[in-house]
Amino acid sequence: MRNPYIPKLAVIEGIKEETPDIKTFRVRLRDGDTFDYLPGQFVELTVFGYGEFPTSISSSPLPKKDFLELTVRRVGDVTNALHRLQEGSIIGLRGPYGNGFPVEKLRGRDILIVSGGCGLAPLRSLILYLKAKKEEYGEITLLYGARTPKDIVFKDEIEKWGIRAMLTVDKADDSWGGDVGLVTVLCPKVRINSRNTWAVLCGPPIMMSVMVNELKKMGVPPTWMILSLERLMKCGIGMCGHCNIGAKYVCKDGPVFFYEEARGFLEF
Amino acid sequence: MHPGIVEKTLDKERIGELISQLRGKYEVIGPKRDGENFIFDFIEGDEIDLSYKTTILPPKKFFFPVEEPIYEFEKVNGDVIIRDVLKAPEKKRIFIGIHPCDIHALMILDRVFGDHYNDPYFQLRRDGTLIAGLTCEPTEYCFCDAMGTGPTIDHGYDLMLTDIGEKYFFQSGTHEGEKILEAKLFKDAGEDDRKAREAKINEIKGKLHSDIKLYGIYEKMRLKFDDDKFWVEWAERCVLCGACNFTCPTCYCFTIKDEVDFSGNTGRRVRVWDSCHFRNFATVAGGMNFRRRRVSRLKQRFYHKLCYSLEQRWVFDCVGCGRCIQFCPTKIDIREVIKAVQGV
Repeated sequence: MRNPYIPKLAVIEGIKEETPDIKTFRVRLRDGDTFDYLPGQFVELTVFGYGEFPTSISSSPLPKKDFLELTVRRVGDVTNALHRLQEGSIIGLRGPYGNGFPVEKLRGRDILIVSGGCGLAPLRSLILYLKAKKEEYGEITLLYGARTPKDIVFKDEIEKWGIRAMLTVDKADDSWGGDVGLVTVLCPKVRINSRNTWAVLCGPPIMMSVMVNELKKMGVPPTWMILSLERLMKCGIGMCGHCNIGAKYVCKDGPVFFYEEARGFLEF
Repeated sequence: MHPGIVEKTLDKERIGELISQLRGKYEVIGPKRDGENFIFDFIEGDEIDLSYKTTILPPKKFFFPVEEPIYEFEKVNGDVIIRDVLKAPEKKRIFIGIHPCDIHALMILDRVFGDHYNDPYFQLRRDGTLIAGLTCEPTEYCFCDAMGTGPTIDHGYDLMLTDIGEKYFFQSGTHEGEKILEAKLFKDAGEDDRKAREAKINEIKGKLHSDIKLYGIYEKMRLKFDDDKFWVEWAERCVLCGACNFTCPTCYCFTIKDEVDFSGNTGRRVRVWDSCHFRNFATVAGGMNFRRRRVSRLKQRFYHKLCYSLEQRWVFDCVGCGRCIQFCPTKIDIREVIKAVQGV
C-alpha cells in the first residue's frame, strides 16, 4: 500500500529572492521522477527537523520541465527555516494536491486575474500555462497589489509574461511612479468584456471579498468568478480536518472554488 | 434461523476458555474495568467484562491511535534518510464486545480514511481486526435509537454476541466469524435461545426512548448558522477541553508534528489527535485564525456531526453513544442542541 504521508526527497537547485520576505525555490525530485500537476495545485513541503507546510506551485506544467518552483513567504517557524536553507539542501515533498484551476472552463475566454501579496504564486502558474497555450485563450489581465514596491513578487518577469498587468502598492517609495492604494483602485482603469471574462482571485480574504463587489460593479457576474482559498492544510488528503470549510476540505475539494459554490459553504 | 448465519450459544462461565483459545491465533481486545469506568484494552487474562455499558475512549484508538509515528528521519552529511515506520500488527486481532453504535462509527471512519486516499495506518489495522459485536446495555446518555445506529445492527461485524442470562448467544456475520463458532465450546442455539435473544433485544429497546427527531435537521441547521445568539449559550459553557472530540467514536481530526532530538539531526514525524475546539485549530501561518471566536469552534463540532457529514457521506457523524455528554465537564448535551434546533 502506498503511504501518502511519506514525503519524497527533493533538492533545492536554485533560490531567487523575490522580495525581502519571499523567495522562489527551484526544486527537483531526487529519484528523477517528475510531478504531473495543474496550475493551482499545491504541495506539502517538509523542512526536516522543523515540520511541514502547504505551498502552492508557482511554476507552470507547460512547457514540461523536470523541476518545480515554489514561492514561499517567510511567516512561521518552518517557512523561516526554509528561507535559511542553501542551494543543494534536501527537503521533502508530498503532492501535488488539490484540484487546480478549471483551465478547460477558461478556454476561449478573457481572463481577469486579481491578486495581492504572495497570492500571485499559484496565479503565475496559471498565467504561464495560459500563455503556453495562448491560441486557446483570450486576453489576460492582471490586477495586482503589494504592500510596497519592494514587496512585488516576480517583479522582473511580469513584463515578460506578455499580458496586460496593472500594479498598485499600499505605500509608495521614491522609485514608484505607479498607482497607490488597494488593488480596487485599479478597477476604474480596466476595460473588460464582461460578457466573456472569467475573474480569478487569490489573495488575502479581505481583498477577495472587497474585490468580488468591485467586480460585480464592473459587470462580472458572480457565476463567472473563481477563488483560490487558503486554509490550514496539515495532511493535504482530506482527512485531518484542519482545512474544513462547511462540508468541503480545501485541500482535496479545493483550493479552487467557484465563487457561487463557496458562497453556499456555511462558513464562507 | 437465517440462511448463512450460524447461531450458537456459549455458557457464560466458559468465556474465559474461549478467549484463551482465541489468544492462540489473535490478540484479543475487549472492555475491562478501570476504577469506576470501563476501557477497551488488550485482554491478557480473564479481565474482560462484557457487562460494561460504555467506555471512556471509543474503539477508534485501536485503529487510529492517540499518537502515531509516521516516519523517522536522520540527517547525515547534508543528506536525509527517511524510515517509514508503518507496519501491520504482527498478529491478527479480535475486538470483542463492541456495541452496535461503535460498529457504526467504525464504518464511518472507513469512509473517512478510505474515501479519496487510503490511510494505510487505519487500513492495515482495520483489515487485520475481527469485530465481535455485543448487544448493548444502554446508559442514560444513549440515543442510538434516534440516530438509527442501535440497539441492533445487521452488518459490520464478524460475530455478534447477545447476553441471554446464563449464556451468550452468538451469531456469525462473516465466514471468518463462522469459523470461530466451529469450536467445540459452542452449542447449537435452540428455539428457546433465539426467543431469549429476542426478549433481550426488546428489553433494551424498551429502555431507549430518546425523544429527539432528526427529520429536517439538515435544513434547520443551515438556517441557524448565522444565529450566534442561539449558539452562544453553549459556547459560554464550553471550556474548550476537547473531551467531546476525544471520546467521540467518529471524530477523526488530527495534527501532524515533527519531534526533533537534541542533536537536531534525528527525529520523527507523528500524528496526534486534535480537537476543533482548540484555539488555533484553524489558524494559518501568519496568524489568521478562521475560527477565532469560541462560538465558531463550538458550532464546528455540531455542524460537522449534524449537517456537513450528510453532504460528505450521507450519514450523520454521530452514532448516539452519549460519550460526549457523559464526559463533558459542563454537560453540554447534543440531544438538547438537536431539540433546540428542531424548536421543541
